[in-house]
Amino acid sequence: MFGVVRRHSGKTRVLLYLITAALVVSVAYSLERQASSSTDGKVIEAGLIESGNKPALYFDLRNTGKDNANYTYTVTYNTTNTETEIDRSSLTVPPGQTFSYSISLTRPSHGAVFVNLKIYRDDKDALLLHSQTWIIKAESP
Amino acid sequence: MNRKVVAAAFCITLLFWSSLGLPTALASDPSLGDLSGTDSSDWADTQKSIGMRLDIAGYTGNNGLQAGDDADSLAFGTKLEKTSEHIWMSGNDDNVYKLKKSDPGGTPILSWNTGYTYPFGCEYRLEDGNEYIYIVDYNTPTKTDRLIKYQANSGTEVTNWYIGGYCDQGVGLAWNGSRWFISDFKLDVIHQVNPANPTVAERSFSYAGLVDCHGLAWDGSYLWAVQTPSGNQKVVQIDIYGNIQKSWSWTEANAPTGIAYDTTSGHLWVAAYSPSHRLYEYDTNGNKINEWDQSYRQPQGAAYSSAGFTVAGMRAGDKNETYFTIGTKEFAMFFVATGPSAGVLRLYHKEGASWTLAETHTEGSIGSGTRFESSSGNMAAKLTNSNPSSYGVVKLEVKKSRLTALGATGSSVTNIAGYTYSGSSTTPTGPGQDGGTKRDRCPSGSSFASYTMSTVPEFPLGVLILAIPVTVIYVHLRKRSRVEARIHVRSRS
Repeated sequence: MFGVVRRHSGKTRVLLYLITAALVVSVAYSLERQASSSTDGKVIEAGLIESGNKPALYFDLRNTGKDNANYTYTVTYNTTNTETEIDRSSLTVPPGQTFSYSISLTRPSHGAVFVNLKIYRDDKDALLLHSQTWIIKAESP
Repeated sequence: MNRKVVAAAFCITLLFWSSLGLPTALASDPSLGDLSGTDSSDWADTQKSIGMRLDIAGYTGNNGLQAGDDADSLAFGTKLEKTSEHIWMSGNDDNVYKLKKSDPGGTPILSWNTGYTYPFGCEYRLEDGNEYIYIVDYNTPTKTDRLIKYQANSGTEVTNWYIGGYCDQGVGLAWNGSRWFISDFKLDVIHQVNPANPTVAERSFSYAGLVDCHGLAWDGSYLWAVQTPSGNQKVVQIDIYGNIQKSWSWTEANAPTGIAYDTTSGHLWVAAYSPSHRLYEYDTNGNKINEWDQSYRQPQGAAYSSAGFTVAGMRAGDKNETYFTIGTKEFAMFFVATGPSAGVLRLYHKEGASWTLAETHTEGSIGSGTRFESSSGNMAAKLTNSNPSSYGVVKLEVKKSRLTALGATGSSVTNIAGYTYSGSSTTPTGPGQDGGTKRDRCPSGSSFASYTMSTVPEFPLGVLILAIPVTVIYVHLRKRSRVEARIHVRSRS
């Protein structure tokens, strides 16, 4: 009789310990998420997200200084009509804040689209902070 | 007892792990509800002049702005007026009438005098966002016909062209998107006319059995024509070379003189002149839907129009903007069209007295009702066409965490106002007109709306909530351990 109760209680205990462990991990994960969302050490992060027929270029620009920072970005890409599009803008990023840019592009049916990103720091004699080119190729048939 | 505790603990764990995935799912598309106090806007009905692309619904007494949020995002919606449908008629009294399609027999919305004696053919066109009515007047003496262009809602004549060089008695008029078609009652032909020079016909054609052809309409692929001779009254569908696609006899007592194609219902509107004046609605197989007495308007020509917000019909510089404040932090978010189905989505926040750009996203191919978001996932938008029975909606979304990072505090959203502009810069420099013209504001004048976001447990509250079941289970385990230890001791003794 007691043997049965003990065996049943043992299983329950193991299960409860497992659940407790899962909850503790959850708390830890929650704290980690909270922490990671508030600390981002990178000043510039840029990339191309290849998603089907609508690849997207993005960059995040974080001002880690103590004063406002002025930047100019230029995104240049050729369209399917072989025209060149230029998206250029100047902006101010307050200290500790991040500016996010993205553009959804169209994958060409043939040939390739060349996308170039340049980011300058304006208040330091137009210092080139970042220059990168991506090639978006047509999807192979 | 144990089973209950296990079940409860299991459910809490499951709930937590589900909730970790839930924000990702719910980050998209929080549902919207009407914001009270937004049932007024700056535009009056009579001020519409750009095809209703940018009319906020507030002016008709409806709430024009919406808001909503979920655990992750805050969203605002601007309701744009339902597509309005009208029937236009040119009459024997030389007037043009604008009728509500929903009540064609009722009082006209407006009417104006054409200043001409025989305004028969009648067509509606939306050009550069402005509404126009075109009339052909066959006039007397012979070969003095003119094609005349009017501002649709005022009747102001914009210009006219002499068409008597090729047209003897022009009585029907249709526009197929690139060419005019004018039916000639005397010569029994249909003239095709290039709008670049309406004073000459590109070519003229007829269809088999054409007699006294009057009204013309374009259904997107074919022309529809009505002919009037007693005993041979017909409705005919032809291609632009005169090949008959479909034809049925007109059996009403009154001779058909004008016809319009309804692009929404796919029906035909036929104006009949003699002996009684009536307006008929038919399907394209010759089945009558309805008819209305028009004896006091004496219609000769007919045209159909619909106007509203369409994503594929956006014009570069159309801008839809929402201002709001959370805590003491001011934000502005807008979508500005850079062309049909394309545009830029931006989030600004105010630093001191200046607007500072926080995020921008450019989208090149937008479909009605299809949500798109920035690569950061912090902003999203969804643009939905209006139609005759539902509002168009421009929905702007932003993640709460992004707003918090920019300085938003609390859950109270105040100073909400929605604006529409036309002609704004397509390389935006900030919130506001930005080189364009303000079209509407909701609520009207200088009033604002407010919204309270749902409270979401955040750190440290979220952790505390998680800690509670852990504590409960721990206490329970301790208790069970002591009980079992006692049972164990007793069993040994």
